[in-house]
Amino acid sequence: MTSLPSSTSSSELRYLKALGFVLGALVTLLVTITATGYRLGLVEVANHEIYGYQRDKLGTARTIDIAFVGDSSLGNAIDAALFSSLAGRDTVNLALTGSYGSGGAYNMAYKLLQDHTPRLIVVMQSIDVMRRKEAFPGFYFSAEPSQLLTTSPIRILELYFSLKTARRVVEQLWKHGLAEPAELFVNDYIAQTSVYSPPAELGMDPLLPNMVAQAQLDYVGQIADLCRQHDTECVYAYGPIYDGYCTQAMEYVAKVESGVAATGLPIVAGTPLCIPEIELGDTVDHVRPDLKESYTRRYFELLRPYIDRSVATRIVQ
Amino acid sequence: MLFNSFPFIFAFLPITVLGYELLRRRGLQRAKKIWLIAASCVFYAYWSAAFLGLLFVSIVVNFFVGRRLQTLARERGTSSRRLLIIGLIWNLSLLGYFKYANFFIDNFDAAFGLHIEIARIVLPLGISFFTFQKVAFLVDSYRNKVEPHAFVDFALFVMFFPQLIAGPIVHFGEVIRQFSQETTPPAANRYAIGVTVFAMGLAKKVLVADTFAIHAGAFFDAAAGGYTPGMLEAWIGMLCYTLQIYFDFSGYSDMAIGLAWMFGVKLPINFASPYKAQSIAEYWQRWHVTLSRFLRDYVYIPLGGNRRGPTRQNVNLMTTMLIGGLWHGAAWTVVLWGAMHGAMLVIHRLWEQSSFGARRAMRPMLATTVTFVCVLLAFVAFRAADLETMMGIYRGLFGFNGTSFWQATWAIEKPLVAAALGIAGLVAVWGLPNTQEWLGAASPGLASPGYPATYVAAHERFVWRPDGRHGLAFALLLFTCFVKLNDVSPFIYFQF
Repeated sequence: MTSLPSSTSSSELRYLKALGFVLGALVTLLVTITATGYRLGLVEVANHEIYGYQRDKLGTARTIDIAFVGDSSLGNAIDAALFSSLAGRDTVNLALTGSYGSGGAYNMAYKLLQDHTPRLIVVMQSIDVMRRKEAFPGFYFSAEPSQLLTTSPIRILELYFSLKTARRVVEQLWKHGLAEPAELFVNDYIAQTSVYSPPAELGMDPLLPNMVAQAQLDYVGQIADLCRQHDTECVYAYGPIYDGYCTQAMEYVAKVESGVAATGLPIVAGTPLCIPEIELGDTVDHVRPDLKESYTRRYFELLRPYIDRSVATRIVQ
Repeated sequence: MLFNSFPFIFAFLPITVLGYELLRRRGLQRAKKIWLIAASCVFYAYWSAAFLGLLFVSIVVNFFVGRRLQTLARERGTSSRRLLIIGLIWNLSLLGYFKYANFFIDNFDAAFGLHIEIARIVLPLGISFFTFQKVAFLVDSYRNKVEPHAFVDFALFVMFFPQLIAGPIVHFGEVIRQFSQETTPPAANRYAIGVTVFAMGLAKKVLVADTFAIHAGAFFDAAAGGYTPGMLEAWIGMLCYTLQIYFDFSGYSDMAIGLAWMFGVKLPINFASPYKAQSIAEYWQRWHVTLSRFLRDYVYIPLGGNRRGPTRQNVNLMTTMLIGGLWHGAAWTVVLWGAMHGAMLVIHRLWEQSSFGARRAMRPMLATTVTFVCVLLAFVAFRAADLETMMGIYRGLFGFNGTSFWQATWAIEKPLVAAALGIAGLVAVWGLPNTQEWLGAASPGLASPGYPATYVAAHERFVWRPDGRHGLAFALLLFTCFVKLNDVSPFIYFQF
C-alpha cells in the first residue's frame, strides 16, 4: 500500500475537520436543546408536572398504609381520599402516566420504600402499557440520580437524540415561553379536557399477544423483587379499559398475565374493569372524571381481600 | 451489534479506532491484530456470547485443517483431497445443522406425518457468510493458493468485524497482506474515505431502505395475512421491496467497506449498480459480487462450468443458482427464487446463442428495463412468507385480482407517496453513480477479476472531493442519519 501525497493528506484533514466540527456542533446543539427541554418540563408538560406532583406527596405524607403506583388509568380511577375512608387506612395514589410505563411505577415504589413502610402496594396499569416497547425512558425520567450510576451513557444519549423532541421544545418555548402551565390537576390527577370516541372497529388497532413488551415485564419483575426485599405485600391490578378491548384482547391479556405471574406478583381477580363507551373519559383507559368515585368503590371491593390480609399479617407480626 | 445503532457508532467504533491507532503508532503489529480480534469478539458477543464459542472452535478447526492442506500442497505439490472433504463436511455440517435442520425436519414431517417435535434452532448470526469464507479458504489451501500465516492472521481474517456478519465474502489472499502491512495509508486518508463511504452506506440504509421498508413491509404483511392486492398496488409494493433490498444490502456493504478502510483494509466491492444491468448475467456480475464469484469459483466451475457442453452448462447454471437460493434461506420460496434466476440465466444464454438473439440486440434502455422487471418478479418468491402468499402477489401483479387503477382499500397506507418514492428510487438507481463511482480515484474497495463493473474510474459529473464543502455536506448527511437511528432496524441480510 503506497502513501498518498501530503497535499492530498492535508486536504483530507481539512475535510475531516469540517465534517467533525459541523457534526459535533449539530449533535451538541440537539442534545442541549432536548436535555434542557426535559429538565424544564417543556417536552411533555403534563408528564413532567405529574412526576413532581406525585413525588411531593411522598415528602409530605406522614404515614402511608396503602399505596397505588401505575399509570393514568389508575390516576383517573382511584380517589385516594375516598379509598382511605373505605379501607380505614392512609392511602396514597402515586400514579404517573403510560409514558413512564412500568419503569415509572418501579421508581415510585422504590422512592416510597425508601422512607415509608406501607402494608400494601398496588401496581395498577392499563393493559395497553405492556405493548410499549420502550420502557427505559420511563425509568430514566423518574429515577433518582443514584439509580443511574450504572446506566450506559449511550442509552442516555439515545434519549436526548431526538429531533422530534427538540422541535417540541422549541414549539413549546415559542408558544408559551417558560410560563408555568395553567391549572393542570383536578381531583388529584391530570385534568381531562376531551371525550374519547372509540372507533367502531378495533381491528385496525388490535392488541395481540406478540405485542407484549418484555422490557415492561422486566420492570414489573423488579417491583416484585423490591417488595420481597422490603417484605411488603404487593399486588398487580389492571386499570380499567374500554370494554371493546376486554373481548378483543383476551389472548394479549393472557400473555401479560403469564408474564406478571412469573414475577411472583399476584394478579387481582376481576380486573381489568371494562368501561362501557358511555363511561369513557378522554381515552380508552380513562374513566369519566365524574365516575372516579364509583370506580374507586369497585376497585376497593376487588382489593378488599388483600387489604384485610395485609392488615392481618401486620397484626401477627 | 448493528452498524446503524448508537452503541456501535458512539461507543464501539470510537473505542476500537482509538485502540487501533494507539497500537499502530507504536508499531505493535501483533497487538494491533489482537485488538481487532478482541473488538470483533465484543461486536459478535453483543448479539450472542454463546455462539462466540462456536465461532472460535470453527476457526481453530479450519486453521489446522487449512495449515495441513497447505503443507501437503507445498511439500508434495498436491494436497489431500480426503482432508479437504473432511474440512468441507465440518463447515457444511455446522451450516446444515443450524440453518437447515428445522427446514428438513418440517418437510419430512409434512411429507410423512411423523409429528417429530424438535426445538427451534437459533441461527448463529453470519454463519452463512463465514462458512462460505472458510470453505473458500480450505479450497484455496488445497489448491496451494494460500500463503503461510499465523493463527492470529487467520482468526482476524474470519472475525474482522466489518465483514463478519454479512460480508462481503472475502478471500484470504485479498486481505491477509493488508492486515500485516507495516505502513498503512495516512490516518487522514483512511478516516476521510472510510467515514465518507460509511456515511453513504448509513444513508442508504436508514434514510432510503428503511423508508421503502415501511411500504414494502405493509404490503407483504397484508399479503401474508391473506390480503389480495390489486395490480397497481402489487407493482408499487414490489417496486418498493426491490429498491429496499438493494439499498439495504448495498448500504451494509458500503458501511463494511468504509469501516474496513478506517483500519487500512480494502474489502472487495459487493454492489456495482446491479439495476443498471442489461442482462441477467450482467446483473449477477453487479449484485452481491462476492457471493456471485464464490458460486462461480467454488460451485459452477468445479461442476464443470461451460467445459462439458451446452446441456451440462445449463444444468450447472441451474444447480449453482439453486444452491445460491438455498444459501439465502431454509424455505421453498427462496429455493424457487434461486431456480428462477437459474432459469433466467439459461434462457439468457440460449437467447444469446440463438441466431435471433445474435441479430437483434435489445436497445440498452429496454434491456435494462426487462432485466429489472425480471429481477423484481423473482423477488416476490424471495420475500413472500410462503408459496400461497407468493401466488397471491403474482396474481395481483398479472392482473388476476383486478386491473382497475384504484382500489377501495390499500394495504400500503400511502400508495401515492410509495409510488412517487418508487419512481424516484428508480431514477436514482438508473441515473446516479454508485458509491465507488462517486469516490472514483479514492478507490475505497477492491475490484474482482472477471467482474468488469467493479473496476471503477472517476465519474465525470459526480466526484467526491475532500474539501470543506463536502465535509459540510457529509456532516449534514450523517447528522440526518443519526437522528433516524432511534428507529433502528436490522439489515435484511442478517437473517441469512
